[in-house]
Amino acid sequence: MSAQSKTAVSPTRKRSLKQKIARVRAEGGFAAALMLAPSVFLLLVTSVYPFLWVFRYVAYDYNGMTSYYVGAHNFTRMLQDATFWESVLHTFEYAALKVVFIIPLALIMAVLMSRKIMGSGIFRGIYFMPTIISAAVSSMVFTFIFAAYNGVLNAVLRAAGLISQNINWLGDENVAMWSVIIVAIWGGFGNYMIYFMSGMSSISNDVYESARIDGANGMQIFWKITLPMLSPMLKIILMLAITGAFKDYESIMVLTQGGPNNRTQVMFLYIYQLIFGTNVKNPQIGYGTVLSLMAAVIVGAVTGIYLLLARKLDDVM
Amino acid sequence: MVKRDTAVYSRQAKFVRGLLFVFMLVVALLTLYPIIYVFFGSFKENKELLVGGVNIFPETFVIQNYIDAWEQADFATYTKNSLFLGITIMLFSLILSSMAGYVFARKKFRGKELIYGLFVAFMFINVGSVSLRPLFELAIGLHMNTSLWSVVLISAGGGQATSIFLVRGYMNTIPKELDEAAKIDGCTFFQTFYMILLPVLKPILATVALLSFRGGWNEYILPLVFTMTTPEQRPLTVGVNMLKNAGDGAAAWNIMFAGATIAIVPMLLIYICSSRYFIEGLTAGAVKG
Amino acid sequence: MKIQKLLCIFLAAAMAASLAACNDGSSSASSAAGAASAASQADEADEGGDSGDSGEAVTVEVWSNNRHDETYMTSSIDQHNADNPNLQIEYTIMADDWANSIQLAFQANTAPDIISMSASDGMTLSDYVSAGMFESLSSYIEGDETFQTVNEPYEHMYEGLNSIGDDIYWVPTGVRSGTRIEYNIGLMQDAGYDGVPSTLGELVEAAKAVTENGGGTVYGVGFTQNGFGRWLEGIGEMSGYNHMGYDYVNGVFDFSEWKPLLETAAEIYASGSVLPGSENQGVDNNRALFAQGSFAIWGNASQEAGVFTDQFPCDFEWGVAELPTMDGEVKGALPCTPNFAWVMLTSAEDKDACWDVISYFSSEEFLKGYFEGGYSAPLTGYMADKYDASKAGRIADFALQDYEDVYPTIPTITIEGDDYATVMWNVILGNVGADEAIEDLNTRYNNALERGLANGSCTRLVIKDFDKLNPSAGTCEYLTE
Repeated sequence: MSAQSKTAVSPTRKRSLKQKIARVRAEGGFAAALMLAPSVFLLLVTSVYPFLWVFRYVAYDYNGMTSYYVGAHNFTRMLQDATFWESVLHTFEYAALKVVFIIPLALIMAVLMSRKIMGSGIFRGIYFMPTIISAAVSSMVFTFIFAAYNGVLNAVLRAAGLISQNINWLGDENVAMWSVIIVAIWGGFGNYMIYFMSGMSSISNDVYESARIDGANGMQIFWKITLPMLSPMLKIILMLAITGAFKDYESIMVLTQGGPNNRTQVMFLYIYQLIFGTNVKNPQIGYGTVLSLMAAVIVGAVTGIYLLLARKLDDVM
Repeated sequence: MVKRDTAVYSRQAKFVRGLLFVFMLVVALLTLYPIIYVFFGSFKENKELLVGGVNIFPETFVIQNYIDAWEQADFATYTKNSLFLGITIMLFSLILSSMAGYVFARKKFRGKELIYGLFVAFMFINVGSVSLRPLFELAIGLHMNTSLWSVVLISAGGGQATSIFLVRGYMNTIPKELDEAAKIDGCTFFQTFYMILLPVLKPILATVALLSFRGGWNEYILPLVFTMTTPEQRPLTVGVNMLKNAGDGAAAWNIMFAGATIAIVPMLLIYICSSRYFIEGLTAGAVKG
Repeated sequence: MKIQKLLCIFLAAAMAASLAACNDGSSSASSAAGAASAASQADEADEGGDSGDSGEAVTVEVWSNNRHDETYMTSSIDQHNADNPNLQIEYTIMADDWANSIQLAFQANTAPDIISMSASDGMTLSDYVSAGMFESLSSYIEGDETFQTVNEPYEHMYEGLNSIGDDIYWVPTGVRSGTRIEYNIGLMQDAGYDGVPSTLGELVEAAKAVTENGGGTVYGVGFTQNGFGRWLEGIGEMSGYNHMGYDYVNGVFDFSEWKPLLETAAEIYASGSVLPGSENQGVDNNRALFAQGSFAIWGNASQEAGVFTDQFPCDFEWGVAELPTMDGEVKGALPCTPNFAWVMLTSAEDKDACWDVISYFSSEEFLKGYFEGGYSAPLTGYMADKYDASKAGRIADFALQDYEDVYPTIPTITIEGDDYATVMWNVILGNVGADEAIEDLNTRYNNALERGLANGSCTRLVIKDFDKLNPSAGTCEYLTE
């Protein structure tokens, strides 16, 4: 291949424009460009353009109506902002815990769903339900469940004899993060289950059949066939789960507002509060933009490392 | 099918199956509990609802919550608008992500990594709802600031990266020999996509369809802003949140719970119906290999 | 399976129908609406013709973010529109995100002519004036003597809130009282208290007593998220502490005085007298818990009059008391919240017609019905005499006190880190020491002020003759350094 193409390169240069066009067309270059164009166009309009628009304000104190030049102050402020760096740590903690629980659970449920166990259709519907209910309503219900005074969770644990004193699920610095993660798992595992189910569908039934004929049991099939054959999709799903967990903030906002004492404050919640002025009196859009750039760098680095590791793993396997 | 299973599986396997069923049931109950709480909560008096507590059943069933919700909100119109958003955003996502995912997975060209990197990068750069302002201004310039199509384009554009990754990832599990065979048979680049790969992509496209439909259905801030002056264009999410009726006193959470329960019905029906086709899609796509 | 199939067929049909309706429906609906409005306009023209008035009907568009008064507003406006064919009011109640909606609509040229306004909306007047959005009402007020009599606009000019210098941008007609203590009379009596004590120290003791009496199911106090601003802040202000930490005489921030209050208030938590977890629940949840008798002391302003009579009726006697102070004496003003006002946007086409609408909403007859409905309480002495307070329910218990006033708006600074309410709340919850917190606040707030002065985003407000009991009366000076 390489020897052939080398000899083919030099004549190309001498080809006329017409011939070049003909060649690109033969290889589907124009078709590819046309097929990619709508996505790129929407990316430019709906993501890049607003970003550049906001980016103008990195050196300003901007409250949404008027802006004041502050030079590099937003940047030096970030370096000294303890709340922000704590929120970065909390984001890592939150993302790690969420992914560690949600991915295995979603994978197990997807495997179980693919077997024809009684009622799996109904179960699928149930697991999907948390993702379609109004977030305002479900968060309200979780404050009832977690309530320290008359909450369901405390009542159940007391009845079971597991605790003797009510736990302040959302107000105790030692447990608040777990409460937030429980809600995140509840609201998200149905989503990842669907990702896994579609990933598993590319594995042919014949493979399973022949494995079964060879006498493999369920566990062996899972470790030897499902998981390896799922790995390209698994990589994508993991990446979506990691980036998704890093960007989560809505449910935390409703449940704890980042409290108690900033214990559940995560990067994007902090940024949201700055940009909308919910914790400070006036919106601080300029500073929020600087932080969101930093956050992008952090999440980008995490993803980069993850992709690198994933590639290394491929080489090993 | 079931009969053959019982014949083939040993007693031990049966026991395992039973255990698995119990596990699924437990997870289902835990998942369902908050939703049951919402359902029964929607029949409570506001005070009883907001006190919370262990009693999920209302003292008396207040049907009036549903009557109020139904009268205050125009559910027929809201549902229609939600369906419009869900369906159009789904169609956009399907077309965009299948084509882009195919190009990214199968075509080598200069700058590919750069463009792909741009898609990845903008998944992380989150200026959140601040981006609403420039987009709204843009929509004003284009006289689209009261059009639901703006919501469709922005929502589809913002959500396309995830779908593109999924399609690309799935495409990587499909053997390249399939394309090459098609090429030898004389298919062009587009024909290979349209006639050979699209049918194979069914399972992942079913997923993209389901998730993007739900994405459009759940959209809140965008339609809130774009239907500011046009109440007849509001989708369910916006309409139901308005039921809280917040004013100078306490909010009517019970009516909002009733509205949320009504709003969940169409989406659930769609899911139950489509899930059959969804599962068919999942099995039909399996590549013989 | 059969059921599923049926469901799907039904759903498919419904979807097809609704989508079909989507195309036809929207156009037919809008054309129907168009026809209706055309018809009503024709009617108006007819009537106008009959009365010999050749003026064309003017429509003034009004947006409000109030829902609690919807019934009264719509019925009054319907009546007005029927009586005044030449001046039609189109009234819309908006959803969430009020300030943002106004700004976006103004940019899009879809803004209404008039918007509702209350001090609790938190819209910084100077921002909107410098953005050229709000119209000064001064010249209209000057020429309208009836308006002046009813609404006493010159006595209710609050620098930075509704006016800047001589320019008045909105005139409040109603007022939400400052914070009061609402308490469960029975629970307090059981613990040996006949009412709410007049000092914070005694109040903390009372909360302790109720809790000890409660046997683990009833507690002394219920707070909510960010509980500092609920009523503890008001106690500090009435004790003469700097409002929002701002020393108006010297034009700097100084939170030092607040220390004793923080330390006394922290006792409430340290002694376990607070309903567990109430600081993580919303206002409405805590209101419901109060109405259920789970705790004895709750603090909020006059909107609770309606909440505890209509929305969450209490099956026990509840009292309303003035806030205690640190030593039993009132040394400073308690902020109240002027509300039910209207702003004219600069984009309004027919400004004279807009003023007619504003003065209609602010007329004696209109306000009488409004206050008697209990939707707000009158701000002016004139209206207080004219309305029948007995019709307004328990809102009479929240009548304005002499020491209630509005503080001039402090400089709009960009705080780095948590604001004072969050920091002080953390002291009360026991997360941080009082001295440390006060030092941190003094440094950050003054630094922010200096920075703002340097880049021109704010000015230093100095009131040489500032009177803590009468903060709105002083002469405001704005310094740029």
